[in-house]
Formats: sequence, C-alpha cells, structure tokens
Amino acid sequence: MTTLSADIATKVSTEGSSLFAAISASLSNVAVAATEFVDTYYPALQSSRGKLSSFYIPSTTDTEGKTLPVLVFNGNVLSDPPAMRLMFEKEMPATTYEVQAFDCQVLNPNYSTAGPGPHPPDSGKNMSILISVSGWVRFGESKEAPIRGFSETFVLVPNLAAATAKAKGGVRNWLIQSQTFRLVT
Amino acid sequence: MLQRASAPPTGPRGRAGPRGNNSSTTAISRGGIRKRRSGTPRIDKDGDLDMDTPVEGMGGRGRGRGRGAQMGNQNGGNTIAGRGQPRNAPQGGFFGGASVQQAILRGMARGDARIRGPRAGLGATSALGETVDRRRERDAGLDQIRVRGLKESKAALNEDGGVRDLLAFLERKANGPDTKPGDAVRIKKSRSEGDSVIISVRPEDAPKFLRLNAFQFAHSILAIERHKGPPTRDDASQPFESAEALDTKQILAGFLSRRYSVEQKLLDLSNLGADQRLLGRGFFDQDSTASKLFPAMMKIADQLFTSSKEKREAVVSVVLSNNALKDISMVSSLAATFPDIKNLDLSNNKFVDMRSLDGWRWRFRNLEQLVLTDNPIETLTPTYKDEILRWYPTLRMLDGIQVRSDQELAALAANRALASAGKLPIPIRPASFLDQGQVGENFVKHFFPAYDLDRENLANSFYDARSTFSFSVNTSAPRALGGEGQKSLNWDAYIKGSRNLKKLSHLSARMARAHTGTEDIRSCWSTLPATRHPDLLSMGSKWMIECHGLPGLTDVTGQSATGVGGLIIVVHGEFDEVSVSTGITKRSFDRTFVLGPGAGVGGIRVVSDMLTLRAYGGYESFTPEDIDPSTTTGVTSVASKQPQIPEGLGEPTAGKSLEQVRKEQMVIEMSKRTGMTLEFSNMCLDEKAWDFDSAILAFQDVKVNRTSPLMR
Repeated sequence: MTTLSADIATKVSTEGSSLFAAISASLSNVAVAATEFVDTYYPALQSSRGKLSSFYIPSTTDTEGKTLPVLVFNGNVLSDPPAMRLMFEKEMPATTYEVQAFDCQVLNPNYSTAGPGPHPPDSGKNMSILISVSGWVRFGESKEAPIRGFSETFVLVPNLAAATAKAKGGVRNWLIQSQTFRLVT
Repeated sequence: MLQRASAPPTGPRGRAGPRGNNSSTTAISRGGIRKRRSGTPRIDKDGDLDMDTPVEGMGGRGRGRGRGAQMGNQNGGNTIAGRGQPRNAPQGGFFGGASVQQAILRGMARGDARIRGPRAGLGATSALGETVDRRRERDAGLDQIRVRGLKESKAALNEDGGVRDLLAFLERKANGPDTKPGDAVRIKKSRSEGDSVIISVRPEDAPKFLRLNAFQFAHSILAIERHKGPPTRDDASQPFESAEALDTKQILAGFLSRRYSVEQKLLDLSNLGADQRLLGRGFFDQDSTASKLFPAMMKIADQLFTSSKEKREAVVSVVLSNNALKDISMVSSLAATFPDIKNLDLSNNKFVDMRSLDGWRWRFRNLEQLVLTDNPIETLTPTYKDEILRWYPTLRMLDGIQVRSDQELAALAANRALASAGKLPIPIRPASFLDQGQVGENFVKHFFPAYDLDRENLANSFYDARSTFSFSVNTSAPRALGGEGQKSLNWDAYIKGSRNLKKLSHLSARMARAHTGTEDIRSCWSTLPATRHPDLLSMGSKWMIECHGLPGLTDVTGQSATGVGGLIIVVHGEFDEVSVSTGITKRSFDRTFVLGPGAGVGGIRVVSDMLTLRAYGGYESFTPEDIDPSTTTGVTSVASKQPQIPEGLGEPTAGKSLEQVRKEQMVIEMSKRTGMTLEFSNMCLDEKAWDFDSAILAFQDVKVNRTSPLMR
C-alpha cells in the first residue's frame, strides 16, 4: 500500500499498519464522494435524464464477453448506459425520488484494472466505492400516486478522464461500474 | 355612446369594443377616464364605459388573431384562440358574453337554485309567503345596485311607475336569450328610492347587471351603478371590502367574462394593454399596478370555480399573445390558476430564450399545444423547440406543427396510467442472479442461517482483517400495504450504530460506525438483536437475491496490481427480531455483499458487507410481472397462484422423513413462486435434483421473454 499524504494521515487515528490507515482514510473521504454522487444522481433521474450517461463508465466488453458497467433494474439487465438513459427518457414516467438513507464503504482503496490508478498514489482518490441507498420513489406527476420503497446499490470507480485530462470543472471523479435497483415495497 | 346604448341587444357590447368598431369615431380621452376614478358624477361613467372606442395597438391584436387560426384547425376545431372567426363577427355578442359569464359563474350559483327572484316561477309566490326570518337570512350577502333613468322613460307612465317592466328588462338583458331557466340570474329584491330603483342581486351576478349601464330602456338611458347605501349584508364574518376593491373586482370579473368563450373553453387574455376598461382603471399607468393586475385577475378567476375539476373542464385554452411579455414573471400565476390547460398561445411577445419561460418548466403538465411564433426566441434560440419538447412530455403541437406522433402520445398516456397506480412500464422481472460457479448461492445459503444462529463463527468463516461492515437504519421507509409493520417501530437497539450518512455528518461518528476486521465486525454484530430469517428454500418468495461479477477488487495476496474479480450480491428480505424485552418484531432489510477470493470457507472472503434496516415492507414487490401463464407449460392462471395445498403436505408427520418434508415444502414454494401446479413443480424440482434455485431458473428459461427492446 502506498504512503498517505499528510493531510489524510492526520484524519486517521490509526495505530495499525498503513493498510488499515489507507482503508480508514478512505472511509472519511469516501463519504464526501458518496454524498456528492447521491445528491447529483437522483436529481438527474428526475430532471436531466439526457445527462444520465455521464454518470457511467464507458461501456466495455472483456475477453470473456463480460460487459461493464452492469446495470440491473428490477431484474431487467440493461446493455449499456445509453440503454439506461433511453429507458428513463422514453419509457419511464416522471419520477420523484426521496433518498432516506445511504451508506458507503471503500471497496478497493487503490482501484485499478489496467496499470496504476489515474490519480497520484497518495491522493486517496483511486478508491472504488460501494454505496447502498434506501428511499422511496413515486411514478408519474400526480402527488396522489402511491410511493414505492426502493433499494439501490452502486459501485463507483475512479474516472480516468478526470485525472488524465487535467480535469476541468464539472468532470465527475467517480463513475458507475455496477448498479442494482429494486422496488422493495 | 347613445348609439351604443340603443344598439340591438345582440350587438357585441363587451367584446366588440376592444376589437374595434369602426363606426364609432369619437375617441374618449383618457382624461375622461381618470375623472371617473376621482369620483366624478355618474354621467361621466357612462362615457367611460363606452369601450367601443378604437384603441391604439388594435391592429397588432388583429394580426395575432389571424395567426392563431392555423393551429386551431389542427386541434379538431377546438381553436386555441377562437380566432378562426372573422374579426368583427358578433360571436354571440353581448348575449353570448352573458351566457359565458354564466358558465363561468355557474360554480358559485350552483346549489342556490332555491334562491329565486320574486318572479322566478315557483319562487314568485313563495317569496311572499315566507317568514321574515327566512327572508332576512336569504337577503344576507346581496349586493345593491342603483338604477336611474326610469323616471325619464316612457314606462314611467305605467300604473306601477314602470318598475315591473324595468325589472323584467334588466333580468332579460342580464341573462341573454340563451340562458337556461335554471341558470338565470335574478333580482332578489327591489325598492324605489327617490328617482332610483335599488335592486338587490347576488354578488356574483352583480357584474351582469352593472354592465347594463347606458342601456336604453323605453327611450331612456339607464345609469346603473353599485349602490353604496345601507348594506344589506349582515354576515359579520365577511368583512366589508372597500368600494374601490369591489369595483376593481367587478371590472376584472367583467373583463374575464368578456374574454371567455364557453364554446371554445377559451380564455383570451391577449392584448391586455389595449382593453379600454382596464386602461380606464389606470392599471397600466404604473409598473406596480400593472404587475398586480394579472395575479389579481387570476385570483378572481380562481374564485369563480368550486373545484379544480370544474376549472379544468371550463378552461382548456388560454391566449396570452400580444402582451409584449419579455418573460413570464408578470403572468406566472396563470400556471397556478389553470395548471391543467391543454392549449397555450404565447405568440407575438418578446420572449428571447428558454429562461424567459423558466418558471413554467414544470407547469402545465397536460399541455398539448403551444404557440411561440413571433417571438425573438425563434431566431435568438433556434434550439427552443427541442427544449420545449423536453419540458412538455405530452405536447402534440408546437407552433402549429405536430411534434409527437399519436402513437407516442398513446404510449405515454398508458404509462401515465400505470404510474398513477404506482407501477412502471418496465415489468418487474425475476432476480437477475448471474452467479459464478455457485459461489453466490452457496454463500447466501450459508450466511443467513449462520447469522441467525452463530455470528461468532460466521465472522471467522468469511471475514478477515480487511473486511468492512456497516449498517444503517432507514427509520421512515415505506411499509408494506396493510397489516404487519403497522405498529410504530422502535429502533433503539440499532440507532446508536446506524451509519445513515443522510443523517450522520460528523466525521468521527462516520468513522466509528464503519467496522473493519473480523474483531470489530464481530463485536458490532454482538450488539445487534438476535434474528430469525425465513428459510431460503421453503420461503424463497420472501427473498430477492441478485448478483453479478465485479472486477477490480483488492488482491489480498498482493500478486495482481490490477486487482481480482469477485461477486456483488444484493439481498432484500425480512427477519424476525427476537428480543427478550420486546418479543418478536418483523423487519425488512437490504444487504449488499462483495465477495472476493480469500482464505475463508470455500476460498472466498467478504470484502464489504453493508446492511440497511427498515420497517417491514412485505415481499409483494418481488413478484415478477412478466410471467405469462398462457404460454408457459403447466402453469395455472395467475389468479389461482396460491396453490390448493392438500392437508399435511409439507408438514412433518409420523412416518414421513425429514427429507420428504423438505421436498414437499420446496414443491409448495415452487408452486407459489411460479404459479405452476404442485405436480409440475414436483416434476421440475425432481428434474433438477431438488436444487431449488436451478429449478426456478429452469422455469424462467421456459418463460416467454417479453423483454423491452432496450433490454439485453
């Protein structure tokens, strides 16, 4: 595990190895990233569905034929982010989401599928993130329509473009690699 | 003015005015209008009310009307502006106006049919026969109107001084020829006072009578005005409005009625600045009053209806063309008063871009037709059409051009119907369980019984020094429909450890409530109440478990810099919380596991374990919607989804082996989940060597796929 920058290290009350330190440090960083994600993703589902694709990693297929990102919506497997966007744009009625609870964890403090991570090793920005969201959703524009409980799990990974392209404002630092949605009431 | 008054009653008194009556050549100066406002004698008001004066800017209005015709035709004759007609066509004229107003006012008149004037059929005698108390009760809240000019009329020579004829004339003119008897406005009371006759009418009817000012009756010009004498109101709860406020209201109500077409269900608010009566009130003299005019008008319009349904049915189209609007700020209240209109004409204004219309982004959710022609936006913001399409999902026509196909709109309407029932156009499908070598299946089967019985050992079996666990409580989650979860839930046992980031903002608490390593996790689990999860096999329908592969996890051996692949499992289900003090509480949960290769049982480790607790939400939402019974072998109808279970099946009895009981339970569960008969469920399970999940998967493979084209 790489060494941590001083400012991250100060947040960590660790007496363990740098490994634990990395996990703990990311746990403090990760909440900020997850909050930002939840605060932007659900509003986008409501009012800027055309921008949905920007939340996802580019679609890829590996040698075994596995595609990423994996997108599951009530058991429907969507082929790629444009399919998700189209589903929301063309088929879904207006939706009102209310996030009532969410939690997150660092999945891999130094995520990388091809060589070193996009950010400097000690930036603490190379982590992948697991987020679970619990809330309700209402379909359609009538406020009288019933609300349905939902549960949704995301895996976010670092956005390569954010680090390499001298990220200008507005570029998301993390993108969706995996998404599983279910109505639960 | 005299000419106007003696015009045939069919003359479009109210409406023809602002449209231009070329025969009228005497322009009234605005000074005259102002005089009236400063309380000049009545005779001046007569002059004021001659609104047939040509007004500047009328040409613009005429142009606007011409344009609208094009779109009206495409809407099945329901013209947006009613502008298909020639400009000067009478359009029902004054009488049309009266009946229109009646339609607008119907809401207020409704239910008051019992209040009838002295000559209204049955009421003719009953009014006289009533007790004083009841009459007083009825007279409460009436408006008084002074009518002068009777003495100068030929009718004054009649026996009764012409009063009866005058009253009949007023009622006739106020109602117009088209009014149905039941809808007619009536004069409730009348009395003579000097040269005047004071009539009492319902407040909402007053404008109709006041409009008769300057009408000619038996060779005399009537002067009709609100009587500000001793009030007949005795309703203390209704404070008096100032005379000026009443007058303003009356003018606005009159304006609305003149601009409303009952046939077309259209409110024509175009070219407001050219309306002589509004001008006469000086509404446009100052920005401050001009900005209040429209909201005031909307408020009055709102009061004319008793329900939004009534409003929706009465006003389908609104025209706001020719108002020099730079943005919608002045008129934004239209959306609050008439949120359900289908046609909106904004042509010939000064809108430059989408921001000019911003406040209406989420309004008018039923809009089918919008006209924005002759606005700078056409050239300054060429993309406005795309944007408008996004704004208004039900829009069919934009600027007179069809922008959505009927098919598309029909599909949309169907989706909306689903949504109002809380359902989606995309069907609920069975679990997407994309396991890898049964890793996920084995883990889940092992995990939950062990979590119920022996958390201590479970932590050792799958968790290591880098595993993470945290839980959060959603204390206000929606509950199952009816029943079980209804008693208010106590979360005391959990709340201190809940890592709901929506509520928890302190870094230290966030850190403390994330648990890393076997010891930390085990110690956290030991604080959580005991649980009993339903059996995965026999009660599979109470679970929803999905999984798929996930790359890029930490390689704990440190061999692969690019990480290793694993599995993400998302579980939704329920459990009984078992507590000595509070007994059994049913709750629901969502739990996500990320598994990777490791040194735990079966060569795996838990990378992450994240638990959400919430009120019991049932499991109805897990039921797939796309099982088509008619096309699936051996499937009974969905209606009979609950199988008829023979007595004793699935229950342990003497001589029955435990394995047999288990199998019978699986058959029952299979039948419940798939809708197949018990026999077919038995066959299916037997074929899959009594592996429940395999049998379920096999069943799903047989099903006809009704996948959306967007699905893989």
